[in-house]
Amino acid sequence: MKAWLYFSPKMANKAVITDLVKNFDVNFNILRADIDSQGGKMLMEINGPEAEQGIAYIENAGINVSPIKRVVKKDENMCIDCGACVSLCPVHAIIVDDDWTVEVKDKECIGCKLCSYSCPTKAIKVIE
Amino acid sequence: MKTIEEINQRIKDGDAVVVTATEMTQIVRENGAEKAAEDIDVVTTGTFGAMCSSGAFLNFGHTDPPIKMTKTFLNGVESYSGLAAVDTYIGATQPSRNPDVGIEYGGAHVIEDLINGKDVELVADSYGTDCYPLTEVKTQVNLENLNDAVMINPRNSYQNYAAAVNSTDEPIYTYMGTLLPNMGNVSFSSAGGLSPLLNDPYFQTIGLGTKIFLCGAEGYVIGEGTQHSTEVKRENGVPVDGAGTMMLKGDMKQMDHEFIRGATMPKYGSTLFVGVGVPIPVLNSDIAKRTAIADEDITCRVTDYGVARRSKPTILETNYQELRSGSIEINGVEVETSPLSSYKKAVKIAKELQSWIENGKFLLTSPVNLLAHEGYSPNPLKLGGKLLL
Repeated sequence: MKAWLYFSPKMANKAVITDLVKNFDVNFNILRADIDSQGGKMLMEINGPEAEQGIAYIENAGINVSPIKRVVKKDENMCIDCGACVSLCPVHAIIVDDDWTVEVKDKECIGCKLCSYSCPTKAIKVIE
Repeated sequence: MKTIEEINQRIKDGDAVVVTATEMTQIVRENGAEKAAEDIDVVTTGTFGAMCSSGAFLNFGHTDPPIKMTKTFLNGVESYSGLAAVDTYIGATQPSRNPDVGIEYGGAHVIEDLINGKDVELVADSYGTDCYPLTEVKTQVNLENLNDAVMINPRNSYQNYAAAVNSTDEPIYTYMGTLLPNMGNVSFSSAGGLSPLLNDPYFQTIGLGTKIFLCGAEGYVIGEGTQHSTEVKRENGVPVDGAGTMMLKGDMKQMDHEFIRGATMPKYGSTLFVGVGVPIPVLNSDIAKRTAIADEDITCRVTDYGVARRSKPTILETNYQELRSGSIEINGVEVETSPLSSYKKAVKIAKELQSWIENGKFLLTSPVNLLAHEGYSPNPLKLGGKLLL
């Protein structure tokens, strides 16, 4: 699953993710992180046999976990399949299909918004 | 050798053989140009790209009492009023006068909204004259109640166009889209082997009066586009850089929203994605050979937009097969490419035009004057004072 982890200011300097990895059998990938002394948020993909217990642990530790279903969505009516976004994606989540349709792969998206900012027809929305 | 009249008779009889430029490449490879010229009557082309030099003449009809509009705004976007009382020209790149909106909604979006059947707010004022006493008007217009909505695009469908990279340390935002720093991506625009003017590179068939597909409607070529150039170096018979252009005309009332779109290039401005398809009559084997041009035979220069000068340095030369593969190699590094024009729509346009002709509802025209194939080379504009840039 992917989730936003919200850190309050008092949690900003706690090594919660280190503890998570030490104590639970989880696979994780930090997709985005923006945390400073005022707190902040982290977009994380977390899987593995003990993912549920791990999430319960970090919630108990004081981090607000907000699972997300989608990171990115392309409006099929607005997209003209130009491909301006394709080479901008840092994780190759946007591809051109065999029939030249531009496909945005939600599973691989890290929500950096470079595509949505640069889309000439505003067809790509990154969900906050 | 065939004539356009003979091809038109075959179209009327339902006997014309019409193929897309992509199909023609394969046909000539297999059968040769002589045989292809005998077998094929028409080759259709297509492109769907951002074409800033586009716009439309609109006529609103007269109010009572009448007004001679001198400042005109459509959904907050100014259109040119230095014409007769209720005529205007809305240009694609004009931004909104509202600074909070700016380039996010420009003339291109007004044109798209009109073609999409939406109501558009018209605000105009005037100094008032004896014959046109009204000094202000505020109302709604739409495509149906406009007397005329004629798209006239001064320069469309460039014959080839250089691809763009950025050598600087910061991203830059251009009419070629977002260019990542340190040559982090490549942006290219032409539809390559499917592009209209690359399939008739010496303008043997296209000229003033050529009937075309324009944004889902029948339109016409009305001459060379502005900045038309014939003196660009050629390889395999086609220019290796931006060269010929077309001026186009079409009736917005007949257009289809699928083949036109207002757009904004971030930090650059609004622009209009225009769908253009040109039919090329295969009158002889030389024309057949030219329409067989393939992506891999069309050279494309990759230029550095990090150098903000008129002449941008060429980093390397590639071709459209490589560009369309998804990445090209620059200085030993694989760099991803982005097409800026929609190849999917370009293919759709070529196929749509093909079906129009096959179904007998689109006949070819004989141009009154072919596009110039020599003697055109745009002049630079000299600055009178000190160069500020």
